[in-house]
Amino acid sequence: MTGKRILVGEIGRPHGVRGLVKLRSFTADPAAIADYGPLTNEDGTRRYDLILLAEGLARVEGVADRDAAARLTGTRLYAERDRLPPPEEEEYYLADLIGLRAETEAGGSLGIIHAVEDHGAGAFLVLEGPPERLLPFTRAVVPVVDLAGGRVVVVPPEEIVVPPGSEDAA
Amino acid sequence: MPRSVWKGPFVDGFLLNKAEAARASTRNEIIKIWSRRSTILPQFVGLTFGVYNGKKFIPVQVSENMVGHKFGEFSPTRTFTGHSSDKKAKRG
Repeated sequence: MTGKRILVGEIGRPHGVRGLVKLRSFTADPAAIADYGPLTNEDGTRRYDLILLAEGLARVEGVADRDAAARLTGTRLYAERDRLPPPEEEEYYLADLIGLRAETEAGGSLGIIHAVEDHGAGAFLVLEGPPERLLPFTRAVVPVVDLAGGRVVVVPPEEIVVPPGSEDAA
Repeated sequence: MPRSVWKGPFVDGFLLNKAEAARASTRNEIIKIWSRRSTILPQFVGLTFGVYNGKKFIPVQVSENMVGHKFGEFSPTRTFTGHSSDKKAKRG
C-alpha cells in the first residue's frame, strides 16, 4: 500500500478576510482529517497544514488573507494511505477494497470492485459491469480477501427457486 | 396512525415460502424480492435478501435489530455516492 494516497477532503470557499476557508471533510469523523496530515494536493506538489476551527472552518498555514484563501477553493486534499490506523479484524478500508479483482474459486474473472456500499443492512460489493453485480460482503460469499495480491475470491450466491404453485404472487 | 396490533405484522405470503425454502437449504443463496412493503419477521434473521429498488436488487443481510422494520428501508431508491476516504467495511 506504500505510496497510495486517498482523498480525504476539499477546500471550499473563503470565509471572512483573514484567510479562513470552509473545509469539506470526507472522513467518517469529520475532525479526523487533521490527524492524517500532512495533506497534499492531487499531484502531491503542495503540502497543506490545517488547523480545524468550529463550524467546518479551517485555517491553512501560510494563508493570511482572503485572496490567498480564494485561490485554494476547490483544492482536493489527499493523505498517505499509510497514515490511517490499522483496521480491526474482518474490517477493511473501502479505499483498499475498491479496485481489487474479483475472481471465482477456479480463477475466472468476475470484474473489478467498483464500489462498496452499506445501507444499514451489511456491506456489499459492487462489481463493475455489464452486468453490474451486487454481492454481500460476507465470509460465505467472499471467503478470501487478498489485499497484497490485489484480488478477492467470490462464491456468487445462487438465487432461491420456489417450486411453481407455492407462490401467491411474483 | 400505526397499524392495529390485532392484525399482526404485514408480510406477503410468497415471501414466507421463499424464506422457508432458504432455511431448508444449506447452500449460499440470496432471496430476490420485490415486496419492499413486507415487515421483517424474526424467522428472517440470518437470511440474505435481494430487495428491489426499482433498478437492482440490493443485498440485505437480516439481523435481529432489523426485525419490525420494512424491507424497503434498507434498499434506497435514490443514488448517493460519497467518497470512500477512511471509511471501513466489516465482513459479515
